[in-house]
Amino acid sequence: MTTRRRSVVGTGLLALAFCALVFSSAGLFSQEPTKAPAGKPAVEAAKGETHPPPMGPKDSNRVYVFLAWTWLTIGVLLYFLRLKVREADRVYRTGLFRTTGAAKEPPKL
Amino acid sequence: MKKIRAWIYDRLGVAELSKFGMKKEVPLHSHTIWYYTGSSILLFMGIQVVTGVMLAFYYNPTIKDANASVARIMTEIPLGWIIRSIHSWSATFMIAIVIIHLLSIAFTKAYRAPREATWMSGVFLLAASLAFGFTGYLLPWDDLSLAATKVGTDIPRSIPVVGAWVRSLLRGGDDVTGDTISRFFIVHVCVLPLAIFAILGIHLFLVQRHGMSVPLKTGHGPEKNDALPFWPNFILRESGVWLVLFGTLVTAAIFLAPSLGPAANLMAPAPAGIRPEWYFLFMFQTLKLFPSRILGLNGELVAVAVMGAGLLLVFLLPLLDNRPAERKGRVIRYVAYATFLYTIALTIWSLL
Amino acid sequence: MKLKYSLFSRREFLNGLLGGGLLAFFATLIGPVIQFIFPPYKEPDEVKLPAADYSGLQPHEAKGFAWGAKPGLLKKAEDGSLVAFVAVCSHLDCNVTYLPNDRKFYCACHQGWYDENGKNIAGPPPSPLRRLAVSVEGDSLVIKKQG
Repeated sequence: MTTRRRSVVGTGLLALAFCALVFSSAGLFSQEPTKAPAGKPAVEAAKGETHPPPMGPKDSNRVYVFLAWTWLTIGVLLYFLRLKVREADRVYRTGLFRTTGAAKEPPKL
Repeated sequence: MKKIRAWIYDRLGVAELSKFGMKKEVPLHSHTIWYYTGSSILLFMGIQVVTGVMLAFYYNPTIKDANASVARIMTEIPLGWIIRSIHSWSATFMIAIVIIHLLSIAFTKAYRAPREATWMSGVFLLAASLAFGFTGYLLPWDDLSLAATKVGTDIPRSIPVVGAWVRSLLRGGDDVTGDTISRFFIVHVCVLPLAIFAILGIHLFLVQRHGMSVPLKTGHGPEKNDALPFWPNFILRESGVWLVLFGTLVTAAIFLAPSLGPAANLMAPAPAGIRPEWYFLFMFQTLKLFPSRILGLNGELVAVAVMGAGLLLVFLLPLLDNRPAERKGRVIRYVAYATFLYTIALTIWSLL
Repeated sequence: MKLKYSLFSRREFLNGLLGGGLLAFFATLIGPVIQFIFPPYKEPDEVKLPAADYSGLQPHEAKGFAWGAKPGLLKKAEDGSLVAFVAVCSHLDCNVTYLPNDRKFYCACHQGWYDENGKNIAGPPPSPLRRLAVSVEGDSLVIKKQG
């Protein structure tokens, strides 16, 4: 698979995942105040430790989606970075854009 | 667009910066991986500044509201618990990488001439990072942080002549009170950031001035293709490392979010099982080991003196190890290994 | 349609991908940060007041109460009915006061005046005072958002 095709496939997957995130996590970024946890900390403080409010399955699913999206994006970015690193190394070896010294080997064509 | 970019580049002198970046080279050898530790510390420091500012939007550094405001952040403010968790975990990650950075410099002896000043500024940075951790630990004002601060600020008391004065300076009085919170807060949020940015500026300037150090025994020579330009090759690789570190941080923060104990009660006895943060555990255990009187001297004073001497030796290490390639250098290396093993052993012991 | 020359080079394409990816990455981080920095303002849905506190109110008199973090004014009209306003000026958010002698609401910040029904009559305020619905439930007054 050529670099170009890989880039296109990568972009496509990225866009797909982005859409999936936008639709599924619309509630996570809503501005409504969560009413349920408000009651819990009053009880907790009386007993002892305060914990982050317990999340129902809906909210914890959203957090898992967010985490999965974060790692997916990191994976895709690492892939692009790899391509870019290979290109930068190749350019370095050709000796172009050097500020000191010349190319160590004749450029491979 | 291009014109605006050209104008900015010209006024800021970006061309010179990028020329320097391309000229700066990172040596490639078997120990190149340790070169990534420095910038990773910067990543976590940046995260701390951002999350710290966000937390400070809602935190109240008063004795009445400190604990309550943190509880509010964790329960009422949307995603406050994540921000607090990231701040807490990023502190741990940052100090862990600071320690790895210190060990890598120490064991590759990168502090050899002419980089002694870089090492010394680095020791100051280590002290500042630990001070960040210590001052930040009090701010939630729960019974664990009160006990840890009481013990921590009491340690200087054993120093003759100035001990009580130092303790009063740290605490804002004789005891840990609301004044201590205010003091620790402004140190944590203003004094230490200014200090660490200033020292970091010196540290980074020195690193750029002297270039990257190469360990003595890597067979690294100028003939082979043995260096990478900093920009863009090394920076791209560093970005990959940052991304992975960031992902790990967020994952840890979400699944292992810290909780908050009840508000500290100044009159209550110390809770069972108090411990400082993990990076102070070996000192904590060392203090426990020393008997209360040694040769007629106060045991705590001896412990503080020993720890102070240890810190001084670490600070002066490049001057002490002025012949790193010879036997003296080898002996110092073994002593360094032994010290490292000691801290690990004591840390594990204190957790048992 | 096949182009004769590429619109951009391979390097530009790769840079664009990387830049776009990084942008997407940071964009997802912005969401939680914004949500944290702008917490939802919780105005109460309703406020209960003991009726006894306001039983001595005469017609054309007003007494204050707390509407969440804002001040409110409870006024008795000529016919004996109660009406409640959010006592915040519609100009630039200063707290207004009720002057019983003039039977008007007055905002001291920029000399804004409202009549006894809360309608803006003089000065800079662009709109009337916000009204709240008052009802009696047992021995307490319940004040709710109108509408």
